[in-house]
Amino acid sequence: MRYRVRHTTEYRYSAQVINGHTVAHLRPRATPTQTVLESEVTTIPAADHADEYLDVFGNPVSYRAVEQVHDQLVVVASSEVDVVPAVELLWSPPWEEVRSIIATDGSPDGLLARMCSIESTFVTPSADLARFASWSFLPGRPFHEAVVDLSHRIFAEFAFDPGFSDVSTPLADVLTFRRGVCQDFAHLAIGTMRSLGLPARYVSGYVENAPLPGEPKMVGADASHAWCAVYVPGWGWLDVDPTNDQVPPRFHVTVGWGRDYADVAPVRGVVFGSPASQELSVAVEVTRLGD
Amino acid sequence: MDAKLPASYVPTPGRYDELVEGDGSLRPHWESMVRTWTTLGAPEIVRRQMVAERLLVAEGAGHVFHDDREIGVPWGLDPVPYVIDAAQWRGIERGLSQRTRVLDAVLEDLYGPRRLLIDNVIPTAAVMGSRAYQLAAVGVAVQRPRLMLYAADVVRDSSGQWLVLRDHTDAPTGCGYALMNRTVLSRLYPEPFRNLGVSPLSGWFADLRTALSAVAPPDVVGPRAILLGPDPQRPGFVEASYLAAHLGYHLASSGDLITRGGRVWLRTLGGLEQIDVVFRRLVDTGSDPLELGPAGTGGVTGLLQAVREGQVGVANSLGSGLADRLWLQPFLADAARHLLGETLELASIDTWWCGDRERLAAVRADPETYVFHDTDPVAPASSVFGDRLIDSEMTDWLDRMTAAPHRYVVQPKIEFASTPVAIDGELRSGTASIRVQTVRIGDEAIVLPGGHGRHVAPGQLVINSSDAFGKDVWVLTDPTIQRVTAGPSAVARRARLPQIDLRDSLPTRSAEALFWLGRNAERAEAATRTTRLVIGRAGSDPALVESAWLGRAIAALRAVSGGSPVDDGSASAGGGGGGAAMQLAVEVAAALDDRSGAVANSLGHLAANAGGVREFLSTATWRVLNELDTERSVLSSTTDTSDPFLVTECLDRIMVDLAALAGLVMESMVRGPGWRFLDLGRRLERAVLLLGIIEAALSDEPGDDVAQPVYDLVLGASESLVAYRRRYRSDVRLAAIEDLLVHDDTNPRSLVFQLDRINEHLAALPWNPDASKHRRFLEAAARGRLGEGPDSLAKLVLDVRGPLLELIRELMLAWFTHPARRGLGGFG
Repeated sequence: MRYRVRHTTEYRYSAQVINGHTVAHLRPRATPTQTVLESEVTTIPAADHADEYLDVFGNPVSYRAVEQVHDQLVVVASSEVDVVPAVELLWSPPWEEVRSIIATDGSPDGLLARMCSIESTFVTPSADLARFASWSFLPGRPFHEAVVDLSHRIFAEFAFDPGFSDVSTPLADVLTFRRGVCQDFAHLAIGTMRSLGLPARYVSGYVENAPLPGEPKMVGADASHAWCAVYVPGWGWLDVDPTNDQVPPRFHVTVGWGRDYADVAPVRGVVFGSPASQELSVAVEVTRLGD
Repeated sequence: MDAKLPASYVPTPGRYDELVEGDGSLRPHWESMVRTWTTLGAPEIVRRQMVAERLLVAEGAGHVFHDDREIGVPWGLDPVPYVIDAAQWRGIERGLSQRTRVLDAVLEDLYGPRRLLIDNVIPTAAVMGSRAYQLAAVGVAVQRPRLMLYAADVVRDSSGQWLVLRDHTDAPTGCGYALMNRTVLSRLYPEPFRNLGVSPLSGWFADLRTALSAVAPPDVVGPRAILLGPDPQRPGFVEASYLAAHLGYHLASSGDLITRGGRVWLRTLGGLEQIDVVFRRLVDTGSDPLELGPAGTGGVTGLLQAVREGQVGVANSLGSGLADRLWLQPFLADAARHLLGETLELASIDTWWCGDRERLAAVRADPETYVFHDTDPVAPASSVFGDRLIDSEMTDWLDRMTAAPHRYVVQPKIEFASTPVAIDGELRSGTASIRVQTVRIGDEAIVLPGGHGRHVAPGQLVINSSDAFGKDVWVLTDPTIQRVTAGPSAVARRARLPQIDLRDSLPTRSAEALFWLGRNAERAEAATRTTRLVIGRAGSDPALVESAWLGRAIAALRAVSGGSPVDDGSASAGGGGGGAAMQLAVEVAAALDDRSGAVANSLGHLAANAGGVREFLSTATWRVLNELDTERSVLSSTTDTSDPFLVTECLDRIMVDLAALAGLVMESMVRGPGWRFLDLGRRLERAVLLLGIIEAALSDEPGDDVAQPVYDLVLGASESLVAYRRRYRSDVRLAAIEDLLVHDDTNPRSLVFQLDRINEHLAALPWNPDASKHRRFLEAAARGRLGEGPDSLAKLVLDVRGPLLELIRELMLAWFTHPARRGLGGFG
């Protein structure tokens, strides 16, 4: 399937700022199931200095500096990608064995898996998460089956509630109150698996709004979407979208991945000046161009 | 005379002792020191220790921050150096030289190919768990070496073996302290210092300068380097500014540097100046709010991006704090073998990683025998003795270690060698660690032949030791080697690079501090002198207090000490005897006090301004500034300001020191933009204060009965009384006063003299906005188109003060406005 994505982020400052530095994870990366046909990031006012590079995870990063006085910044990312379905996963080792297999996995994916097996900025494994995990991770169960079950449970037991959380809501609250948004559910699934020492990474991207006529709309459209992926030794990374209970997801565009949100926040930056406040608005359009 | 062991010194049985051999005899390299000690005797040692502390204060180290501590402690220096002979030192030198290469290779690998992780030499969880791994810096190509400056805390264990306690790779401190300690201690014992052949430190600092130039982007010829230090009043500022002064670099704070176009620029008076090398004294997490740390914590936004684009060299490379933490110790020997095929010559103190399940189980089984370390850089209590924890604390530690074992390491408790320290002038055995520095040039690592020793109080964790006592480290030269040069090493001489002339560039922060230094010095001087005069005259001539003199004296006092102008009612007051004296006492107290412009307040600001531009001021200047600071605290603690004796005694000392400061500024500062700003501040302030005195005391002609004392006061407050008497040899007349204080361009206290100097400074400084307007005014004013007589004096004040204040405002707007910064947190 071919998708066009337009992601607009707009800041309005209450006073003029002298200059601003922006670091964006907005250009989709190529993956085994995704080809990037075009992608670009532009700003208004136009950047006085720009750079593109790959981060430690291989994600494209766009650096933009606006070195003139401005009171509004618009960051527009437009891209076109082709997505094909993932190869079906038929077998995985019992989940208990995953940890020892990746401990000696000398491939780049093995290293990334180890990096994604312990705590990170937004994901702190805990005994509560391990308990939550134990209902899905039954002894001897194949890793991918346990993961599918975990996705079902998050989808069924947790309420999607945009009013409940923001970026700083701790994972423990999400678990206690059983509500959150896509990013919380991604972090929850990741934390659950890491509390057992299993490798799970955070994936940032988009989902098509209403891919199937007559079926309910997808949750998480019209904004950035987030899900996770687990590393299945011998097979690769299996994407899991607990918000829509899809393993693997079918109508998703991947931008990039990391240990959690902090590694792939779509736009962050620093401005100089003294605006008392800023208003932020984000708009995402995902258009299917063809099958 | 044979050196004998003093009776006070009792070596701890069973431990290696630095001073004494196993058979009780003195080690030869200590003999000279011990002889000196015995000759001097305890009281003289105590006295010399006090001299040492005073000298340290003069070096600017009154309060020193150790490591990351927020609270400064009074700096103390153990009068006993740590003496190490040439053979012993060679082992340390070889070991640390190798360690510099090993740690550099570890950083190069972990920020590049990451073979150590892929090949499982270091568990990934150990690296990630430290939270010091700056993933944003992985894959960013940097100019080698990554580790330009390295420091290690080394200590001898009880068997006499040297061990590394901790590596410092982020922004290692200590070489500035080593220099300060040496400056002082070499003066305490000139004779043994000379006789022993102590290695000089200066060559190493020349090497440091060379090494810094070498990390510049490859195509830069004659790179401009800058020292990026913490803000004044922050830990580490004293050492950073001392080092900047010694190396001859500008000291920049975060706000002085900006990035534009992917390059780093210094904000100077002349505009932006590109910087090629940043020698950072800030840790990784405080170096770049955009990519390395939380916004609002200081640092240069976009610094890592400039490195990524190859436009600037940063030493140490951003991210090098990764090797600074103890998490690496358990794996360092394996890493050295894996990356370089080498065996570590100098071992670390045993350190075990708790991410190893068996180790964690062993710790849980027997926690009292270990020292625990949390390797998270933001952990509140990072190191504790297991056997000193109460039950609840122990439970808490063990729970945390079980939840995130990869973040913790443990060490066994070990005994250290004993070394001589001074306690109350007596030589006793104690424990000390030393911080040794290396600098990397090309493939060589050059070890500073000396270091910053630290006397560790009994029962203190050696690794946390931030106690007050520093020790100088004396490395003895090998008598078999012909000559030790004080110059740079051979490799540095080969690599010598052109030096950049910084005469004409002045960071705006420094310009601002110097400008205010001049203004506050003048304020303090005027307030001190006038208060002193008023107290003196009122004391010697009590009847004056009851006269019309009082109102004018009070008005003048207020004019020079930031008080509000006197209204007509109180100016003519003077009523009852006790009332007038009381009123004067209140006014005097206010002029000495802490209101803006008063003596104590101006001295306080003066000290703060000076602290921000330490690198511009000589050691002699510092001595004077420290005296002033002491006098300020004496003045502030003088509870009875109505006691003229106590107050005048203090004011007299302040006057002398302010005069010394003024003299040093005129006689020992190069006439660059820095000096101009200082003098500009002083001249502007002097002009404004002079106008204030004239307005307060001479706005109308005083009655005949008080004319003489009023004129005396005005002339005295303007430091022109002697000049007047010598010139006119008569009773004081108003016209003559006006001539001397306003028009006489040979009187350095006159208004015209100030205007001339201000005009010269403005002409010499890079200042454009509306300069011509101000200069026309200044020239007209100085050319003597100023009226005469009391009426004209009042008019003069009005005509000149407004434009002067306007000029000050515009100067500050043009030069000193800083943009505020604000991070955009938590969006996306």
